[in-house]
Amino acid sequence: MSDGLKEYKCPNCGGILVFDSSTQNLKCPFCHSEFDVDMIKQYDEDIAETVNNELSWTAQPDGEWSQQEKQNIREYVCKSCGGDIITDETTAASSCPYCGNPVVMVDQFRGSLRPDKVIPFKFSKQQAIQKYREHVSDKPLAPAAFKAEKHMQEIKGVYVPFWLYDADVHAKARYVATRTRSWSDHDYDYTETRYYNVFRDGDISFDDVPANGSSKMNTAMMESIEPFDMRQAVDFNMNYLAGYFADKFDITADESGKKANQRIRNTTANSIESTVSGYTSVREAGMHMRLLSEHAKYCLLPVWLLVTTYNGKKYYFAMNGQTGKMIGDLPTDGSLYARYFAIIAAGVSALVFAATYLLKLF
Amino acid sequence: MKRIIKLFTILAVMFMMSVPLSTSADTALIVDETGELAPERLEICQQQLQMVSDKYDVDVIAVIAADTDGKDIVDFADDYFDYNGYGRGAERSGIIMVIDMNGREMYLSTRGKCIDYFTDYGLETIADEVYVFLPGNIEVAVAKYVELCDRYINAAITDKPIDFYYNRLYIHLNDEKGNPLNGHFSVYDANGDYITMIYVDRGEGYVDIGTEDTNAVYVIRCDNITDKYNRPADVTVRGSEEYDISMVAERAPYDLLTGGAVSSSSGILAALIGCSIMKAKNRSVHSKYEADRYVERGSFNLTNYHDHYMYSKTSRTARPRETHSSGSSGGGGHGGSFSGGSSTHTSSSGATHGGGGRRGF
Repeated sequence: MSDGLKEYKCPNCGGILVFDSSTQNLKCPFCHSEFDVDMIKQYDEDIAETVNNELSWTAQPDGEWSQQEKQNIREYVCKSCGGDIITDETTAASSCPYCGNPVVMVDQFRGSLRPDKVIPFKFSKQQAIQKYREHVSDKPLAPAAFKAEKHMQEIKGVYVPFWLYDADVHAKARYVATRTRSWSDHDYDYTETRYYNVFRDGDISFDDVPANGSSKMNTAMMESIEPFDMRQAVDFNMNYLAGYFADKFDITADESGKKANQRIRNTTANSIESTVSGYTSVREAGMHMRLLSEHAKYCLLPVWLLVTTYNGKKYYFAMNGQTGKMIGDLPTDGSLYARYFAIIAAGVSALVFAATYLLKLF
Repeated sequence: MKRIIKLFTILAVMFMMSVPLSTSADTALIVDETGELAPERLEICQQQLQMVSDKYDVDVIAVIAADTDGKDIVDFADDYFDYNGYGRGAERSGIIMVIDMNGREMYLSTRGKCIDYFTDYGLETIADEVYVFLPGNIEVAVAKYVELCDRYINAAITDKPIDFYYNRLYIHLNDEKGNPLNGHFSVYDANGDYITMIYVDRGEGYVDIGTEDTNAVYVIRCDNITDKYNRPADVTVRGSEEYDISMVAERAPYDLLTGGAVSSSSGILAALIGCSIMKAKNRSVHSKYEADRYVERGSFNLTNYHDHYMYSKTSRTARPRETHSSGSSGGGGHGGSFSGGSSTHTSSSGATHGGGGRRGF
């Protein structure tokens, strides 16, 4: 097209298309493919609408932001015994090291730092310990040290700060899909590949996508104890914290939102791509996502935590305080591994040997 | 009276002398139309031919012809034999060698018992040995002819006619239960020289070996046999009946090496898999990269969609050419010997003749 209007590119080879008046089609002078004019126009629009981008949050929690405290150490006085309690800047509830009474640092929850929701603990300490026992017992290669009873008593209940994201997402996606057909004659095998421009435009909404808000907690572990059932969440009240440990967030909603965005993007892309069917192959060629509305909540979620030291390394276990799901990686005991290996190898070898001998296979 | 008896006696003697007697003692077994040979030589040839002829009661004749009067040497030989009264007994048994000095050819023709005594192969091998002496040394050629006739007739009478035989060695290969097996065999002669190979497929296999000796000795060795069977021992055979060979192979004992290797690798593999599964149970912490569980129910919908065909590409690959595979041996049959025999034709006189050994010189 030579009069200063838009140039259209050939989908096959990228050359500039020219209008062929005899066929009324757009034709590529390099690869000689022909295309319907309307189809090319639509293809061009689809490309423009599906430029890859990143989801980004401009969200703020329902409350206001305030600056993080600069100090690393906080000092409190126990109301029961008057003892000095030293904690880090994020601890929001603890127990007094002198008299054992629960302590709540009320300041940590002032103003904009007040959580929107909390899910109270459903599992008691004894129940948590029982879950831990079950967790380590069905693992034959776990070292015996993890099954030591005395140590299990050290399990502690912590309210972990989470950001929960609601999102309405609008996505435009473009795919290049193929259908292949094969046939043969006497001399050759033929394969024909037909290329299609596939466009999808859709909406999807998410509720309460969780993201870890505390740098003290391992994000993979917090993801592994999902899901929490937010229908059992209640409005925040400090009384729920008594007897447990709690931290306030030290990862901003923006920062932890990046992980949530990644998850939202993947689920959105998968949902949209699942609507493309009937093709031999499908390749995503463009994905443009926009947040129509976003909303982040600050929530405290119940987790039972246990730290075990073995061979100089720390091993962490976490249990969802609402559902009871227990996770935590265990190391492999080398001697146990060797013992099982030898038993299985010997047993199977003997069986196979007997079978081949009796069946005269060799 | 005395005169009448004398006259009568003379007439009787004359009469008796004019009646031809059996020509045995007086037949010219060597005829030289060319005058090449000196009379003494001719006499020696005649004596040689006479000896062998009387020995076997057949006429062994040699004719040195100046030319064949335009006839083909085959017809010339047949006719010369038939129309000159050669041949002994009711069948007129005999063999004639014609050396055509003009056409530079030799040929052998047989009749009666000699048809069977001299096979096509026999006549060819005799001619091979005789024609080398022609045309220079006719005497030696005749002497060689006499010697070979003696040998060949002797063989035919005492054993069998000298011929090119095919000894068929037939192998049946089975295990102790009678199941057919496959194998490769090598055949060696009595000196240990390799002759040929026999492929045994589904228990049966054979080969035909060409030789003059139907009692030849062969050594059969198994080179290869179906998996898990021991190769049977070498077999030495001779003579027609023995050429049908049955072999039984024993099952090899359990191969500890392979059995042990397979068992231990299975054990190790099972242990690796089992322990890996157990080790994997120790892991329960996994990052999440999707938010499927948090999708608001029913919130997903497409507002716009289109699928448009753009273009197509076609590629092709050449198909491989078909190759022909040949079949293998097999088939029913037995060991034994099969020969070429003697072919015959009818001469102008209506007689049946064998013939061969046509050579130019």
